[in-house]
Amino acid sequence: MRREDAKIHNHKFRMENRQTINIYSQNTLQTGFPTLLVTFGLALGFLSALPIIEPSTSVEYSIPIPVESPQISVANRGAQVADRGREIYQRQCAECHGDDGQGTKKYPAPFEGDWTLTDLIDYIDESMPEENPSDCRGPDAQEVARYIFKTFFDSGTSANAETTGIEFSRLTVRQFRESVADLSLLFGNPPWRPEEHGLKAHYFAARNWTDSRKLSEQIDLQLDFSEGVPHFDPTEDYPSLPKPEKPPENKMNDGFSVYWSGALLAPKTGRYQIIVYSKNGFQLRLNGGPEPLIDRKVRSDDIEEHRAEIHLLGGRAYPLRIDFFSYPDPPAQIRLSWHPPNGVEEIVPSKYLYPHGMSESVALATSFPPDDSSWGFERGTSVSRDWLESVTSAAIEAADWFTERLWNFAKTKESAEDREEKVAKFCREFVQFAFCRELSDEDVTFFVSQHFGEDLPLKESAKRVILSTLTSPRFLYPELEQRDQNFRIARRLALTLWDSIPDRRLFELAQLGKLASEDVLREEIYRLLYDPRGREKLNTTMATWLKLDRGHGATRDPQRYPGFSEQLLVDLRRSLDAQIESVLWSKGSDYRRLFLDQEIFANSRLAEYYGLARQESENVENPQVFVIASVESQRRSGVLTHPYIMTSLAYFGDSSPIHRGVFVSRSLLGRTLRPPNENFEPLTEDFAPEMTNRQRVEHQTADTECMKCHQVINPLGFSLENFDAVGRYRETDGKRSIDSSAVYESPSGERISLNEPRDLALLLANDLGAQQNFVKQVFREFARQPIEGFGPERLGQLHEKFVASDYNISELVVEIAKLLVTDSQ
Amino acid sequence: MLSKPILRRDFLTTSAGALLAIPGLRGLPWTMPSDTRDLGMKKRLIIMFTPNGTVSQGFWPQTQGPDFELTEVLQPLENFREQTLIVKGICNQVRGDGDNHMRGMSCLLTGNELFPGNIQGGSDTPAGWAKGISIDQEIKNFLQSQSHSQTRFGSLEYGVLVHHEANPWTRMVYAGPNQPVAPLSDPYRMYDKLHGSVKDRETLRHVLNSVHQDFGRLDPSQQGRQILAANQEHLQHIQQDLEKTLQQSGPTIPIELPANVPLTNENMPEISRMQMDLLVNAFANDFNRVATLQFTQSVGDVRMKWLEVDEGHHHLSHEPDKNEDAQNKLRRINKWYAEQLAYLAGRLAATKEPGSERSLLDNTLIVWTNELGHGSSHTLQNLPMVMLGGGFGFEMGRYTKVDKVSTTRLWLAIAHAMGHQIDTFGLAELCKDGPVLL
Repeated sequence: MRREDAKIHNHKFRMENRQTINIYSQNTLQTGFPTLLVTFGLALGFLSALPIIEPSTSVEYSIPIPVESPQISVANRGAQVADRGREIYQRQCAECHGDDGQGTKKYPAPFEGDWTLTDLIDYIDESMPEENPSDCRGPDAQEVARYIFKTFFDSGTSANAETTGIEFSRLTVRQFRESVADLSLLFGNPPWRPEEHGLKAHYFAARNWTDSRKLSEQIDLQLDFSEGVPHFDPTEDYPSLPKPEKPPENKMNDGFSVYWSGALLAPKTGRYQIIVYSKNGFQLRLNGGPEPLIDRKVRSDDIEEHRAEIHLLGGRAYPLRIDFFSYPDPPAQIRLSWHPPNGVEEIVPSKYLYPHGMSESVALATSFPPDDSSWGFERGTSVSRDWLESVTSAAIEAADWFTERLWNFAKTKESAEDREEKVAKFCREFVQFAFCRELSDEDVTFFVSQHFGEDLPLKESAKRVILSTLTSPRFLYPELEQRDQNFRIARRLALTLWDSIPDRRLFELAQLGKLASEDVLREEIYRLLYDPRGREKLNTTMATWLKLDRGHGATRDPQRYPGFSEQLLVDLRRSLDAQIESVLWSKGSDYRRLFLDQEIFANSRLAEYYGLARQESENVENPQVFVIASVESQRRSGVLTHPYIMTSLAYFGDSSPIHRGVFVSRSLLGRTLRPPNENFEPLTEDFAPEMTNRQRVEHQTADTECMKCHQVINPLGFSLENFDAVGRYRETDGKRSIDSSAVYESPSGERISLNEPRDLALLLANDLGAQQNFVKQVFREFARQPIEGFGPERLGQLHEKFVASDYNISELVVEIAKLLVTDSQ
Repeated sequence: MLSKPILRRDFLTTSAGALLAIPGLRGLPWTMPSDTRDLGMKKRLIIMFTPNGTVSQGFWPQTQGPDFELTEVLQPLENFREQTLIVKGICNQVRGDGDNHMRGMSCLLTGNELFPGNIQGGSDTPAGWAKGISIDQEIKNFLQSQSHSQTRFGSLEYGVLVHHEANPWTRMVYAGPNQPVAPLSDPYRMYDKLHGSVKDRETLRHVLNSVHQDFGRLDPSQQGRQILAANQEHLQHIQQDLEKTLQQSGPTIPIELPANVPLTNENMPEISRMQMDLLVNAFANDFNRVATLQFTQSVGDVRMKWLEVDEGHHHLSHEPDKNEDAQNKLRRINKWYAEQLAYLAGRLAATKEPGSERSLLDNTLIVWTNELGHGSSHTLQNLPMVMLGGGFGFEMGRYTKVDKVSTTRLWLAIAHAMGHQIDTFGLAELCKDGPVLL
């Protein structure tokens, strides 16, 4: 049956084959046929929607059937692999690559680079040996790749790099920071996202907050009062208001004051500059603390600009309060700006302000060495001295933060009689939540009581408990603790959906033993996913998949692209984020819409620069307001042709078909490309002024060696040539007209004509490889493990469910979470 | 200059160059080298502040020169009579925005005006922070700029019950224009600042030992053995390095503070003592060469019930001089402050400069001052100035009067005594005649 299926559709089989590779799980292949057929049907259905499908005659794959079951026992696996792999290598590879992988005259490049085993297997399977790739497929490719990887590539950076199974991992840096932040929120209120934006303002016709002199209570969307704050009138005596009981000491104006309260949402982790422009007295507090972040209650000199820096975690909202005083002299003016990481200085947009309070939380500023991301996602599979030192420093930072607030968190007072008891109780809770399990008496002695003593101040005891908890392997390695099923589910759920620890509700459900119930579990998965932390994680996953951060800081030739600014780039990113979020969090959460929606969110600056016609809306002239603009049907489609992505895949002066082609084939279609033979500088216009950019790329990559990959890359890139280096649509490149027609050849040999950007969008929405690649990407961001580690059938199963849900992304995450928490490993 | 009456000191200065060559003549402050390492001598400066002016009757002696009387207020300084120099006639001549309290406080050590601002006292023009650096920070920067006088902190700012609000009445120390420096009023936080890093390392040692122990409690058949073993190995290395650091961190002179003293008005005597003990301890450890000790703030209104004074200090200071009860209480208050000075001097005298036969007091100059002169008139004239300690060239054991000399000229003289040869300090027009001659 398998064989027949494969005959029916080579392409599908390629994908199926890929999943079976390099899996050493004890499971047999269990992919059921009905599943496969369903998947096929749907896939074909969408393929037929593509503009042109030309069956290829040039490529004919042999049928790759695993000749041996992957049920090899772990004990003798190593030896078998080594023997078989070496044998294949000697027979098929050594002629070109040399006996020791050093290269030969014919192919001089030695093995090197940051190839992963998975990449290597895929590449060999698809492309090696070059003269006849079909000579080494399936298990052969897998064995030889393992041999090559182990012998020539594995630099030992990963403790057990030879497998792609599930690895026992520590918390990643992000997970550590998020967990500590959530530990602090256990003693405050959980994060939430109010619907409203702006800050709550309280205006008073007095120096202080005398209720009888209150003028107004309202929401101010942003603080941009260069022309004077509302309600303030230096000539007004406010006769309608009762006079303050205690007359002011001075004979001048009685004074005027405002306080704004609410929260500030940090879109990204990093250092924020907070800037207040005001010549009046004010104090600004952000994320609590004993002292204001900016204290300018004493106005001194006519200094207008006041800056301070603070480290915040992305996706979290922090309490913000500004007290503002205008006395005795007018005018009353204030502006609240910021410079977020990867952003520009601007008035804090109302989108990032909430009129409701939030609890303060730890935002660790200690820097860490980066996590291993050689597999394309952050993993905690290795430890270093540097890392452990950072953990220790961060633990000290956190312990200081907690002990500063100890009496509050322990719900007692320094002078209270029961303070020791209360502090010990707080410490027990802290350990319990950090380890995500209940503590035995022995645990309480070891982790809490031993740090208390008569001659020790309580703050010192608490500090020791917090420090030893945050540096404990039981906290750092989430799978270390032997937990009952319920706590294991709770721990994994929080880690998967929040990169953090369970909150009180989840912990209590585990205590009550309710998480084993499928209904409760499902409800909790939804709750966590739609929590700000879950949303943040899915948003970030999309940004990682689309490699959005690489567009940060792009600059463009001011001669060719006048008006393109840092501000415009920030606007573009916000526009794209809005577009992605509008799909993710809509009812259908439909993956295909990401590529097929024909609209762009644009503010006034983008609308003008890109000539976009926006829908009617209020405040369209305010650059903070992003409104939907429809785009011409064939010209743009979905996120790929969004000017931000087109800009991020371009040079200073021109578009880059190669970057675009590589991005589409690798990151979106999930195809494996080997690195270029050497580094090439792109040919500039001076090389041949009469040539278009496309022609220069064709010229430069015409070599047979190059074309092995560029036959895939170039057409994909050329199909996007209508977008210049800032993502504007164009018909000409210089004086020559743009030729964006291209034919893409799929791994199975289908030839697909791409005449308009829309054609490529349809391909990406409907291509099985692209969809499975997407599932894989989402999986590994949530699991921090490769999907292959969970059994060969997983990808197919998940993809099948994805299709069945009409490509619902949030449902996909729910399925992934379910799979991860119930996995027995 | 010639038109003025020639005073004893003025005469000396005009011929200073010639006199320097005469053996046995005490060096004049401005001729002292910045460091007298060869003599095993370090130079330290303490500026002690108490608020609300003083009482004319009961503070100033009658007789100038070495035979001065120890008045009621100054009585506690008896043991240090030979090391004391009382100066009358120093005036805060800085004008501009702000009331006398504000200028008294924020212009006292800066000799500079206040910026226009929004803080208003009485009906005077509102003002902000001072426009310049204060003399203690100026001297600290100088000492820190030279390798032989560099210390860990340079300067430390101690407070006793300073109101927890930043404004020109509560700040006298300035790191620069618009940069007030807050005094630390909590002895426990000061302790953490001085000894916290050693304490933190000891805490960490306890904690890491317990984490290490916990690794031993893990199930040895545990999955992830490799990565856990690596983690444990790194932990051991960190522990070893920590032990080394703890051994090498050197013999700091420790200090014990009484535990859990709440920072309230009633505990002022105890807080004051704790802060002074910390001050002496920090000097003994050579953590800093400059210190300020600020008792409350301008307009400070503490109630010294332990002296049977129930009214607030500022409130009392406004009483007319003929109110004998108020005068009496104010004398008791100021005498209590003199007792604090005597305690500080006593502790410094009792502590040896490490590696030297000299006491810390021999190497220290304390200046006790106030933001106002006479309390009831809130004047900025005749600020009380009591200098005590190693003279650094000043002739001690005297009471002397000068004629309306700007604070800036006194700060110049002290800067020169500390080895810092500057021509002006604060407002240049108030420094025209150079360092005051005492």
